[in-house]
Amino acid sequence: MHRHDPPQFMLRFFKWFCDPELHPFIEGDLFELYRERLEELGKRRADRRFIIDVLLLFRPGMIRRLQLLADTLYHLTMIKNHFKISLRSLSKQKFFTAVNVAGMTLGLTCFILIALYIRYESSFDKHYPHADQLYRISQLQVGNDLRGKNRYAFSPLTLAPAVKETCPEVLAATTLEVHKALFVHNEQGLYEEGLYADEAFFEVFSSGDFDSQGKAILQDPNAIILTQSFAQKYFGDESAMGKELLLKGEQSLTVKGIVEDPPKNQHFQYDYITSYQNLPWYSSDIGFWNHNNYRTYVRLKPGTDPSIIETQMQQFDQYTESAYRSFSFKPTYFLQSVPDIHLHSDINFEIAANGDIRYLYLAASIAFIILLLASINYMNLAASRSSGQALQVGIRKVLGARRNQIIQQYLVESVLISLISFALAITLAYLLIPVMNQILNVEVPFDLKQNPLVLTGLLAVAMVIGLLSGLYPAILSSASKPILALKGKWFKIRREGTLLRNSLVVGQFSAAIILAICSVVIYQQLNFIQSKKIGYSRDQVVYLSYNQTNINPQTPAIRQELLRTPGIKNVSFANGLPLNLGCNTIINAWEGRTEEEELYIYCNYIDHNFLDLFEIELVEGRNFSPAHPGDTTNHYLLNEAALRQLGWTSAVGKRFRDGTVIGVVKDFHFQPFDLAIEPLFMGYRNANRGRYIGHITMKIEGGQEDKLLADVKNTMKTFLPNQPFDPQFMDDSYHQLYSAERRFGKAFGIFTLIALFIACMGLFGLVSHRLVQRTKEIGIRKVLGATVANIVGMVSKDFLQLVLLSTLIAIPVAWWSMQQWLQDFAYRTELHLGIFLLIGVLAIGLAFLTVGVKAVQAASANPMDNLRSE
Amino acid sequence: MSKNRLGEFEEIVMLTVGILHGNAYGVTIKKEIESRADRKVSVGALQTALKRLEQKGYLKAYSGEGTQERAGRPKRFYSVTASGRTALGNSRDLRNELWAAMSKVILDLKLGH
Repeated sequence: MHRHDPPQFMLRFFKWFCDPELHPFIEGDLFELYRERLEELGKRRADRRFIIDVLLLFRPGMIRRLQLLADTLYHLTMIKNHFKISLRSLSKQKFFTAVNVAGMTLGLTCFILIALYIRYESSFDKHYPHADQLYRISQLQVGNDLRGKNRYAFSPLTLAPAVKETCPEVLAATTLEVHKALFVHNEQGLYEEGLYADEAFFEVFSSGDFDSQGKAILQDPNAIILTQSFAQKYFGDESAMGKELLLKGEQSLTVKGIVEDPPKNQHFQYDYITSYQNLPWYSSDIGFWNHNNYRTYVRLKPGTDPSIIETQMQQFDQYTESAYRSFSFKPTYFLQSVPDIHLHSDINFEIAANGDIRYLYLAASIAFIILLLASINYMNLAASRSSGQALQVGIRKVLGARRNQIIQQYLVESVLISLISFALAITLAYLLIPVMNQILNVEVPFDLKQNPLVLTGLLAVAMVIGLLSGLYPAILSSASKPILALKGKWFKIRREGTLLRNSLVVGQFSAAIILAICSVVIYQQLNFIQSKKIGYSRDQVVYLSYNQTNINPQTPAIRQELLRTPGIKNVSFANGLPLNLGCNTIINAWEGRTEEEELYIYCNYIDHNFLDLFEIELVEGRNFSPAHPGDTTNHYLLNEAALRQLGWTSAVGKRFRDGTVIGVVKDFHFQPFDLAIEPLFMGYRNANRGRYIGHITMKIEGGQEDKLLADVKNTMKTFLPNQPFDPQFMDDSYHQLYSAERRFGKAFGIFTLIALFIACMGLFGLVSHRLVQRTKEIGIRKVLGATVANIVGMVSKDFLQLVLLSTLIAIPVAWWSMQQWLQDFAYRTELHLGIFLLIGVLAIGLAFLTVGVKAVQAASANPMDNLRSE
Repeated sequence: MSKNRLGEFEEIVMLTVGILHGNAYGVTIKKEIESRADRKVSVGALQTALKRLEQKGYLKAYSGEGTQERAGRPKRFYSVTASGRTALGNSRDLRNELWAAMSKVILDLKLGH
């Protein structure tokens, strides 16, 4: 028979394209003709004729018309039906739906928020159309380490012109600095942050139409460009153009232009732009290659390799050679891509605190973990629920449903849940974004409307999560044999299903416990920092910063007047405060120094009240005193770290720098805790030492701070009438130092709670389902005399084993990752196994509570009701 | 009128269906045309024409039994409808008129030379 058939592939081809209405008839004709030809002409020629016939049938009149559309319509009808069934089953099992939607919504909300945060953080400085041509020139000073880093974000005035001249690939080079200066307007002084730049600024950071105008304005040191919000603040709705502002209360600047506020996602911010000649130190820096008070930015020709410029800049050695003759190191210059600065640059003297790519990775992994938890939740619940749907699936199969139709049914349901959750999550994210911005101290906009692409991306993630979550229960239940399903034997044959489900619970709880342990350790470390003995007292210390005005001539009078204020116990003037001391230097003169030896040391200039006020202990020698006139010029105090470094056991009377050591203080922390205590010397503050740097510190009595500060304000007004009054408490500033860590800890804690919540919710749902299945069993057990405790124990045992296993998995992982995190701190809390066990016990307790609530409820039900169920 | 005009092949197919009267299906129509007109007819061309004529309402189709040599596939029999007959009549009238007109023209041409 087979020998007498026409070629199969042609038949199939014909069936594929032919209008199904005509197909059987024409196929019949073809067969008939084929048979005849087979007898007349033989198989080969009959086959050939057959093929020709079919090919000639492949013409518009015969090809099935819009079959695709018909298929789609059919699928649409099916999907419509799937939707209907899904909605029915979702509304029938309200509890599961609620648990699922809630878990998914939480997960997606976290994901959306974190995605927006990451997008914002990685958008820095990318708004310039030529962003890839922009570079900052920074310095590498090998041998000059500050806070463990030898790269510096600053450069001298001389660099930009030299680069422009030497390197033909440099289109423009600008020198700028962001600086806070005192502005006086209507007799009121305020410190305002502005950009001080040369005229090439607008060539490098081109902003379009304003460029040529801006260039002209920057050539005039008596002109100023205001941002819109700054103009609004000072001049209200009047036009600011042509108005005057007093810089430092003495120099009058005319407003010559208004520009838009710089975007928040730019690594330097400013309220106004003026010539760099208005920087107080400008005139003393001209021509000096070692006066690093500026920043240099260049714009390269498109496609230029930045290493070419770096090579060309080696020619500047001829200038730096002589400029750095008295230093132990020489600078080399390197380029940093401007769009990379925010996330990847972590060098000394950045303009503002940058983001950290590591935190971004961490945020991304947390987002995925939470999403995964929510997804596992869904899988688990849906899979365990699907056993209850065995009958439904069985009947569907008997009625002719194909396997992929049943899979579709499940997928439609899970996608439906994820879409509902997505809609809720978007709303929730919109409401929560101000909270996140506050916690993380960022300004992430909720701009999904303007970015349909991002919205689509997020939606796609939600859909994919929905599909993936639905896939497991779909495959699980669609694989069942209908006859078994109808007999209700579903559960017994699904051993591997239980195993997988259990591993999912374990995975979920492990992740949650890891996060919980991490957040406790982070909290401990922050607590440790805040309570550690820092070597000085910061209680009830208030300080005023004067970094603009030379207060030296007035210090005795100010001190006298302040001490008269009731409540002020002590007053001291100091250049630096023991918060984040930035003054450092290299010394190459001391007693017993061997050739070529150098001491890298921090410095601070203080007065004779400083040690008393901060309660810093002397271990040797004496404090500064007005009774010794020599103190004010060449007498020094050292800390113990400096002694250790110098190898001295006693220092008093020894020659040091340009004078002698008169005392040694006990080590105290003058920098954040990620740095060890380093050598420090303290000299007496005088007119030559840091004229514009100064803090007035006051030790005050507790109580009535408001009244006291009002008095201080009045006093200061008489001495420095135009200065803004901005008192700070040492304690607040100290905590401010760790604000990044604290924000991080807080965010981490919140995410941990969410993760735990989702995990518990999943467990809760699972337990409830298991109990529904065992309703009868529980009823029978009770009738036979089991107590509530027996039943709760029986139900909880399985789940608690899983949580116990999760704890065992989580502890080593958390231990390892926290060890890594703590490496960054020079002073760190101990990792106690006790804490890990405590968290584990708490997690088990939480799980027990979750399971127990449901179990007790089920166990205390009337067994009669249980037995009557179904 | 122009809409209902029959093409040459269509007309042949209609006439053949008429001739076969009750036994007109794909294979017989094809063979009938091939033997009478001495030309090859592909299944594709024939079926397209049949389909078009059926859509125009000139032919009516009904399915018949399947046979062994057709591997059980049913036959699709065709018969000419009333409007099909009118269309065939119109077609013949047009032809006749044209023929009648042509002899005159030929005569005129001959006189002219």
